[in-house]
This record gives sequence, C-alpha cells and structure tokens, in this order.
Amino acid sequence: MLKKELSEISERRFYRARNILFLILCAMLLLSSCSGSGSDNSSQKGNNAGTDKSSIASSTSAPGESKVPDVDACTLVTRNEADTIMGKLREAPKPVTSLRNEKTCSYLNEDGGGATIRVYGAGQFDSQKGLTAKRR
Amino acid sequence: MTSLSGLGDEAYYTKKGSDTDLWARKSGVTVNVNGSIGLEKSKGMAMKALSRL
Repeated sequence: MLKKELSEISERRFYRARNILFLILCAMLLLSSCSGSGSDNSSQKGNNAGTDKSSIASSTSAPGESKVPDVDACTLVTRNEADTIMGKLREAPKPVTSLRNEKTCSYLNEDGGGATIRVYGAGQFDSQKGLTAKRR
Repeated sequence: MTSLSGLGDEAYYTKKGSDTDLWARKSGVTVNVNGSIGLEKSKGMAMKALSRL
C-alpha cells in the first residue's frame, strides 16, 4: 500500500518535472526565433554593368534610423546625365561616405553651381521633415 | 517648407538664399539634393537618383 503510494508520488513528480522542462524548452525556442528574425540586413537590387544602374548590395542601420542603402551615390546620376540636367560638369562627380554613413556624391558644373546627393534610409525623411518644421 | 508632387512617394523643399534643399522619399529610401542649382535642376537630379533606387 505504502509502496504503491510512493510509486504514485514519484510518478507525479516525474511528469511535473517533464512538463516544466517542456515549458522551458518552448520558451527558449520562442526567444531564439524572436532574436534571429531581424539579423539579416542584406538585400539585393538589380545591377547593370557600368553606371546605368546602381547596385544596392547590402544595408546598414544606425540606432533609431532605418536602413541606409549601401550604394555608390555617384552611380545614381551619371556624369553625362548630370551634364544634361544641371549643365556641363567642371569635374567628375565626387563620391563621399560621411560619418553618419549616408552615401554622398557631389557635382559641380562649369558655372560654379553645385549639388550634393545624399542617400538615407526612409526614416530620415520624417526626421528631417520634423526638424525643418520645428525650425520654422 | 513646400511640398512637391510627382517626385517619389513624398517630397518637399526649402530655400535658403540661393541654396535649395530638396528631400524625397520613395519606398525605403530617402534622397536629399542640396545645392545652388535651383529647384528645377535639383528635382531633375532627385528624380534620376530615385529612378535607380
């Protein structure tokens, strides 16, 4: 009788421990799937040879900012296209990657007119719009 | 700040002296064209850049 009761108690303990282990395992699986979902930042867009199409090989993100496309900004508007749009260029477009990680390209035409193209993630638009609105 | 239509999903520009500061957003990307070439040329540069992103 006593032996049977002891057996039942140990069986109950076994099942309880098994259930706890199962719950812990589920929690670990859930946590690992959540932390892994945002780890792949790479994205690919089409690329043409030369400067006809730019490539976006991967993306990087700064804290509080959306992904910044990893692109050579000078391939977005070629020298010939810039000649047509803003007048003949004095020199080749100059690529610059700034401290804030945005991609930049500067164009200067023969009249001394200059333009700089900067590429950011989508979040920058709203941030900048908010800042501009505050200044006014 | 003045809104612009027909440039990406949303765009606007500001003017400070002879400088134009143009911002345009399309999908997941923001393009800024800043310089002394005026609004129409800045728009042309932004449009071309956005078409490749």
